[in-house]
Amino acid sequence: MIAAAAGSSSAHGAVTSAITQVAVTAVAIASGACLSTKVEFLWPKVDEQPGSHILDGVDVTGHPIFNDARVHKAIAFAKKAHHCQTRRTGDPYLSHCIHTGKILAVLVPSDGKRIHEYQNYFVSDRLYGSAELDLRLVYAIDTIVAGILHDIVDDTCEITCSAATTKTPQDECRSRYTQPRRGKENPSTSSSPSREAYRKQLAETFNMNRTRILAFKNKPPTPVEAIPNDFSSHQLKSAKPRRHIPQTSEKTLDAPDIMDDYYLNLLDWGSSNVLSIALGHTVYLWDASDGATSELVTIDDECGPVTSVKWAPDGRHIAVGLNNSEVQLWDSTSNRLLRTLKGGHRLRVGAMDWNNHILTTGGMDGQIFNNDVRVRSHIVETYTGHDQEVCGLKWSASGQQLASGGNDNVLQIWDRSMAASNAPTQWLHRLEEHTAAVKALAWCPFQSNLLASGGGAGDRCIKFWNTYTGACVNSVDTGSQVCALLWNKNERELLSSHGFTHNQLTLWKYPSMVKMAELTGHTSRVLYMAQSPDGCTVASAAGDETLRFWNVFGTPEVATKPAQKTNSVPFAHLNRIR
Amino acid sequence: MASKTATKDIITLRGSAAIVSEFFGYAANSILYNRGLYPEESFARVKKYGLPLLLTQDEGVKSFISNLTSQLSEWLEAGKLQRVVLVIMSKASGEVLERWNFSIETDGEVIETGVSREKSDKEIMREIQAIMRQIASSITYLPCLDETCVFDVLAYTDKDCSVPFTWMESDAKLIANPQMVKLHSFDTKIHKVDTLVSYKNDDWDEP
Repeated sequence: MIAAAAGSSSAHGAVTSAITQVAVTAVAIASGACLSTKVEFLWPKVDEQPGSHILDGVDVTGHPIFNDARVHKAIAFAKKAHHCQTRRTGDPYLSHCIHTGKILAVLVPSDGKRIHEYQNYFVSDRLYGSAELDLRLVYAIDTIVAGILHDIVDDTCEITCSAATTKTPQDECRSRYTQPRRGKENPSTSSSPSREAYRKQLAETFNMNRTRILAFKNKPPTPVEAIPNDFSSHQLKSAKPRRHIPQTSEKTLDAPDIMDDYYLNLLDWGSSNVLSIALGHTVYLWDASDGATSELVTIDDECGPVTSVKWAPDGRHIAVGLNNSEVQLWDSTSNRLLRTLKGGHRLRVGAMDWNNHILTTGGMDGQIFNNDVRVRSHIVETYTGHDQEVCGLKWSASGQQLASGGNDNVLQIWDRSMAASNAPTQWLHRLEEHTAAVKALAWCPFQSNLLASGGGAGDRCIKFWNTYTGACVNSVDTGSQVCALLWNKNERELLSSHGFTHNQLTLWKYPSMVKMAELTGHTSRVLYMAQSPDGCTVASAAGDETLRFWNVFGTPEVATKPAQKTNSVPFAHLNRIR
Repeated sequence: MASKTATKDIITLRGSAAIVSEFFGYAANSILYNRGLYPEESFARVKKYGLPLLLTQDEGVKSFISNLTSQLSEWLEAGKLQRVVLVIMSKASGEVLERWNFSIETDGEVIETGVSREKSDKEIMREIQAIMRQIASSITYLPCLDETCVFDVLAYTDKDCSVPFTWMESDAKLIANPQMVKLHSFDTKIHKVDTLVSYKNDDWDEP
């Protein structure tokens, strides 16, 4: 129940001006029908009333509004004014006035109910949308009175406008034709009960005699700035012009001998803006700022080829996973091998991710180890759950949860809080909805418990998960093997890379999952993707032996706005590896 | 044998104060959740008044509300609380966008003489339930809160009420030309709580 449209004078004005409009229209129609007010087809069927009501020769049966005192006064006034005037038919002119009133009584009924036949004469439904019932009656009466008096000023010479205005209903007559009802000239009719109530409430509010207003000194915490509610309908950072997404790669580099193996992770872009790529047995580093290439290491034949590379958060140290199950740790600035992690995995290490000083490795043996690279006995935790090759590993931004995907089509979520000291840690969620290997994993930067995962050739779906509850919140069939996923840090977009047949990179709007762009160029499946530290450029590598760069997330000069994160910056404390 | 028809429970002043301040805590949580002031993930579901309601898990907000409700309880027992207003303001401009007004009428006799009243607990719960439902459904007509908003709570107390040191005087934070919607009220026979939400007119509502 809207308690007070009264009180907001603008609503008042809206109603009155709407009324005026209708009244004027109605009177115009009625006057236009001046010549034919006797034509019965204009009258709709009204409710039958017992007994008929004839007013000065005009049958107004069924219109109880003609009982109103003011209407009677108006008729009396009009009678006097139109004295001795007749219509062409010979009827007293007054009958025309009353007929007009009758038409208006139909068009502007006091109870707010419209009669359907006349629907198209109404301006809008808001005519009675928010007025009180008595206001409606008041306006209805005004309108009818105006109709009755509409020819007074024109047709009668005795009564001047001012004379007409000194009598009741003076205001209605003038205001109908000139301006919306001001109401303050007639305070008794214009203030309705609800307006009074509002005045009272306002007075109470300002009655400071007995009230003091207190507020708590410690204010509640302000809500996190980052991202407003997903369910509100507005767009993020309103009205940003659509950016142009270049459809072709910005740059293409040669990547000879790159292994075309779905389960490996051979590309990574470090925070120092250096890209590392493993081509066969060699790891190359490419400095994005000056385009210089250097070789980090060439692994000998027994140990290699290289099966995964991953930069540490400091952008200086890099882990290199090998086919022989070992993991080497290198310092890229001095080109020194710092350490080799052995004895953990039994088969090749295809997936790795860092969580501060912990390097998590996943192997073809299905094992996942958390290695603390600072201590001698480096395996500090074991996650058992996959029974086939682990090909995807990603820590959440907070470092609290780890997502792992395997060739057994299983996606598992592990939580640090569930670590047991001696025994292998149990998974938090084991999600088996994918029907093919799960390699592509990406945590949402703006919603901390949202994970996107992509399925291989037999699945082709991108699925979204709430990692607190384990529920799958969305699933989209992309039509093609999903090899890698990256979220845009600045906008709500997701980039996926695919294989057969188009070998494209698809940019999706989140959460609508509308395709925003499809980037083609690779001629074989785009197995590896990495994102630049500034979040604008994506590098992709494929078995076609090319490494391509796409400015898909924005142009590097423009997007200097730092990404807004709900959690603290990941890897905030960078531990040096000794 | 207790008669089935007239199951009334004794309500003491303290009990009534507890009911009202507890109601306010849940209502505030519900408003914060439904108006989207804090992210949805930060709320947990509980059952109360026969409805699934959401409570914030954010420590800061939790402690703010619990400090608030305990103070309100004190004032209610003393009969000094006239109304409580939850104000929602834009973070950027500080402009008041919504005011949730809970006015409280206290039965003076109970304060003075300490008598207790009788009313069925179930009845009170039902009345509160109706209000909570209305708060949840208010999002259908309240204008969207597009920007980040913050909230604050004002307490209108008697002039002679002593101000605890954690509270300070404030202005009323009114909205100019608001639209107002009156919600249901509930009555414990000692305290009667009326709920009203007033909000800034949506700009494109006007012709």
